[in-house]
Amino acid sequence: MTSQDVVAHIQRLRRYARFLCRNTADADDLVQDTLVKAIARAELFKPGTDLRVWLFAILHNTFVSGTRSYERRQRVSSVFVHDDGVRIEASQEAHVELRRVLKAVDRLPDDQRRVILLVSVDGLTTDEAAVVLDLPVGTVRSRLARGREALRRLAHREAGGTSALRLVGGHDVQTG
Amino acid sequence: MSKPVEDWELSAFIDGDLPSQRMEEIEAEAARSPELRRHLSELLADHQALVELARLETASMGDLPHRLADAGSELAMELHTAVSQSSRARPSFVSQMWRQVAMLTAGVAVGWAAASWAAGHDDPLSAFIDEAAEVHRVSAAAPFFAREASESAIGSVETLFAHKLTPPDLALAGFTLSRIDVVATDTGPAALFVYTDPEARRLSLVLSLDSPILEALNRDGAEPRVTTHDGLAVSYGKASDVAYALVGSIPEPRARRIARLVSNSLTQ
Repeated sequence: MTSQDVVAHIQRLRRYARFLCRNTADADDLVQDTLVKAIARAELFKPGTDLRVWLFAILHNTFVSGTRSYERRQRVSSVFVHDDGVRIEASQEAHVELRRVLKAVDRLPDDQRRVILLVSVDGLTTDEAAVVLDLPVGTVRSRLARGREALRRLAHREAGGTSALRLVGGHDVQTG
Repeated sequence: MSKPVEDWELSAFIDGDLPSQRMEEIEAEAARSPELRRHLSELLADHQALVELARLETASMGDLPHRLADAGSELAMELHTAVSQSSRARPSFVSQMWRQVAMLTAGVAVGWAAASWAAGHDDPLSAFIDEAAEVHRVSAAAPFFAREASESAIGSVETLFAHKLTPPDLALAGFTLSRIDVVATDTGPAALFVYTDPEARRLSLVLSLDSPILEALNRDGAEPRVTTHDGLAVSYGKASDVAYALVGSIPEPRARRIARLVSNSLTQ
């Protein structure tokens, strides 16, 4: 276990945290809290298991247990999803498309959003995401499928100008 | 003609998370159905947009802030130390565990207060659940709280140790055995196995040979039951003439699943 290994994992944690918190300051605070907990529990890490999954699980639990404070600040400084947020350096057309998907992700129910971020953004398998979220893998697959379908409806109907209230995975989501 | 494509399979298709035959069937179906093709292409476009967003976000992050880099270095050092200690300790862990079991037997010689058995409880099962939850709470602070025991208690526990005290392996549930204790409860002497997961959550497994408890469990069948006790999930049952109670701050369905692992392990 080298510092470089850990640094590589920290960058992945930061990325996931930015998508969760939607602003860089909160995201780095969340990662810092995660690392402090990981240091305190280092002896519980099982050699031969996936350090990345272990760290993501700690980060996820830290976020969930601290959601109230993160969300409170988020309303004040929700830079990630708004026009002054993500530093997208793509073409204008791609920029619009990415921003639309990002906004749609932000409107998903939390349980679906977290699964989608772990799998599509961070490249975890559904089995790994199940460990991180402490859920049965069947539940993760179900949430992923429902979340992706909700995302598709939000992103692509929005592109077509449709405005409606749609039922997404048991939650009402304003699509317009 | 293949079976209809279900919604969850579309998501699994995006991840390539289906058997190859099913992947080919869905590809063939998409080639036939413009609607399915459009559906899949939209799902794939969203997935690729997220992958692209992740790439852009990574590119924008730059170097680690000093505070995170420092914490990372400290974590690497702590993990290195923990892994080194673990590899040194591993060969002796099993013998250490059984040395602890031997200590438990020796502890019996010191004895428990059998007179306190079942005192004040009309329902032995409720008493067992109460005591297991109490053991879970107290064991975090008190490593040993054995008391005197009667000859019959000693005999019971020696039997338990001799034949039925293989600690269940809960690795499948993500928990590792971290401690073995002997406890004296109002329902008699009991063995305590403490498990922890990577998040430092504790599970206490309390095993008892108390006859009234076993008789009460006989009436309820073999399937583990789950209840809550002051915010703790308690899953309990009987396997191979041992009463067990599993206690922890975990969801009830999970407590039931882990209890099944315990039951299977004790039955083997």
